Amino acid sequence: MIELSNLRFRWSATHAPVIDIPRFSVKEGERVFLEGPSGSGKTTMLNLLGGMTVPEQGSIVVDGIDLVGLKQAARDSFRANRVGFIFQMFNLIPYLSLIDIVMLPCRFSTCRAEAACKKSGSVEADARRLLDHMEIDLEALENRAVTALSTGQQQRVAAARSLIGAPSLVIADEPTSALDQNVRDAFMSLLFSEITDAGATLLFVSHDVTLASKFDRQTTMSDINNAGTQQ
Amino acid sequence: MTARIILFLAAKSLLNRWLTAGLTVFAIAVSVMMVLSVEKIRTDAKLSFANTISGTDLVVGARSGAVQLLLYSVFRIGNATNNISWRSYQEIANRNDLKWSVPLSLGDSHRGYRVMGTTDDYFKHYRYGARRVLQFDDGIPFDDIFDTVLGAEVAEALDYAVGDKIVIAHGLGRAGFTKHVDKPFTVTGILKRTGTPLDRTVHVSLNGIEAIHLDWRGGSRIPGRTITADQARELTLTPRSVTAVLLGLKSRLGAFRALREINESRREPLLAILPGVALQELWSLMGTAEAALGIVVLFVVAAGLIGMATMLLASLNERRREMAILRAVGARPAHVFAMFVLEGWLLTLLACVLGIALLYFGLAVAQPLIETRFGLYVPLDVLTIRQWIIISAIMGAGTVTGAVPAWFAYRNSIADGMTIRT
Repeated sequence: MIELSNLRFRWSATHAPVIDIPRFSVKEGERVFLEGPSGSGKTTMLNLLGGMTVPEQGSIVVDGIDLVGLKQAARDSFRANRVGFIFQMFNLIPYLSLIDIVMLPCRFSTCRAEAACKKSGSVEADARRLLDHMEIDLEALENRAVTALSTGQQQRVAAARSLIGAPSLVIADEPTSALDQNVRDAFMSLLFSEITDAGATLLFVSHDVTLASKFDRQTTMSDINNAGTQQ
Repeated sequence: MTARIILFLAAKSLLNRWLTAGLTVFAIAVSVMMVLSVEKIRTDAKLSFANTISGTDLVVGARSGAVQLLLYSVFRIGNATNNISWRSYQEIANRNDLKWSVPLSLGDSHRGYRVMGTTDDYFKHYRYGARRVLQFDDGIPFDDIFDTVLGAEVAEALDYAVGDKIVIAHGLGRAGFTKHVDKPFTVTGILKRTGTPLDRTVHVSLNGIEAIHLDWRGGSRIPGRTITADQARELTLTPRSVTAVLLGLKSRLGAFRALREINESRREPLLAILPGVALQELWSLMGTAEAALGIVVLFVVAAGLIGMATMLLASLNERRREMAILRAVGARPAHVFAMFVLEGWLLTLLACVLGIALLYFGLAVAQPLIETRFGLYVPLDVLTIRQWIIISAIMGAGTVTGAVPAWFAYRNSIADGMTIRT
């Protein structure tokens, strides 16, 4: 699913490289725990995987697509079509309803909209299904402002959004760091069951190593990135 | 498909900031209303002026400015500085190139409306608009010395009907104790509405004007001398002077000759003008004021649009996170740009719609006021092509203004990617 080789990235010619990854790969359907403290080049790597930026050298192949040769617009549609993101916090757009937020990826990607329709009949129905699976009580919360949701609820909505339309890869960037322990455990089990259900690959970045045991594989940024220590 | 979601996001985001968005829209809407009303008043004023007189070849008065003469004799604006002697008038009236001549005598008023002494030829020869003849809504032209014919507006505003008696005040003051109470006039006719200053004029005979001033000298009553209305009838009421004369020529080709001859009159300094030429002179005078007003209004629009750009720019930082999320779900930087431009476009569109609504609301409220105060009839008709062009220009300017914050948002979204910053 992910194949990185000889990847190097630096902000400018005068800066030291922030990414120097000789080799890193994730198999299809694999759930990988990536431990990455701040300054380890983690954010840059996620931006590279999402096709936001291009490396100085090396290759990035995600889901069979070589991102390095693509133009910005093509990388944007690659991201729209195949990757779902969950961020640490503030994942939601304050002026949209829960349903609209979850449907958002399908608005920018025809193939995800089609996949969602195929699954539940319509994009909205699929959004409702995912929110229901994420144990969001729509009846009570649908008309509330998203900013009024608890952090745990917000992260579950974000997970539903990342999963709609069956993306092949879900990248979660410290999604649990703002959650209490019991909320965190509930979130993890919901996320895992939906990832399995969708058949997606999961790259989970966190520094909460207590979660690592639940994953197929665990690694750290310092293991894969030779440039990570300089900040 | 993406165009729809961008429009949806732009609209939702504005709705979320309804207070600032609303105030911005209102500020621009006021400027839109101002531009449109300036344009409307300008065209309507010109039309109204141009429609007031037609079929009159020459206007003659005491020597002053052409515009001044036109304004006081035809539009009842301002006052004559001097009159023409009766003998001069007769000399002009006896010219053999004339088809008709109508003397006018101004200077008195009735409850704020100007009183004009004339002859019944006025109703026969005066033309307005597309050479339209004056028509009576009720009654007939004056016949007796103490008869009067009212303009439509006078009759309506003061609720007069044929047969009512009115008292004329000396001079043009609205309130005044110097009234010709002893010699009331009887309303014999009311004219149909013309949309010209005629509607606000009280017409009486020249003899009537003379009669009420018999026992007056230099603006006040002569002490101890009173002449009753009946006594006045017995006297010779030949006017000593008139204010202006309207002339119709047998052939318009002779207009310049008549003009020259009257202007060179030896008896007293006279001024003859061609109404069309004087109107042109008036337009060129107004042109400067129009241009100044146009520039002011332009700045008001610019201020409104700058306010909009400020609002959008101020939101840039707090919306970086929002843009990052949109990028993460697949939005391109171009989508972010489009979203901001659309927000500017939507705000301007709403402002234009609201501005048009304000214009018509304002006109509906101010219409009677403008008519009585300035004698300007502003009809509530559809927007002119020029007004639509102005609206399109404002829409264009608004969209371009929206492109400024859009450009910053675009650059931010490229720099930020989906890295969420606080």
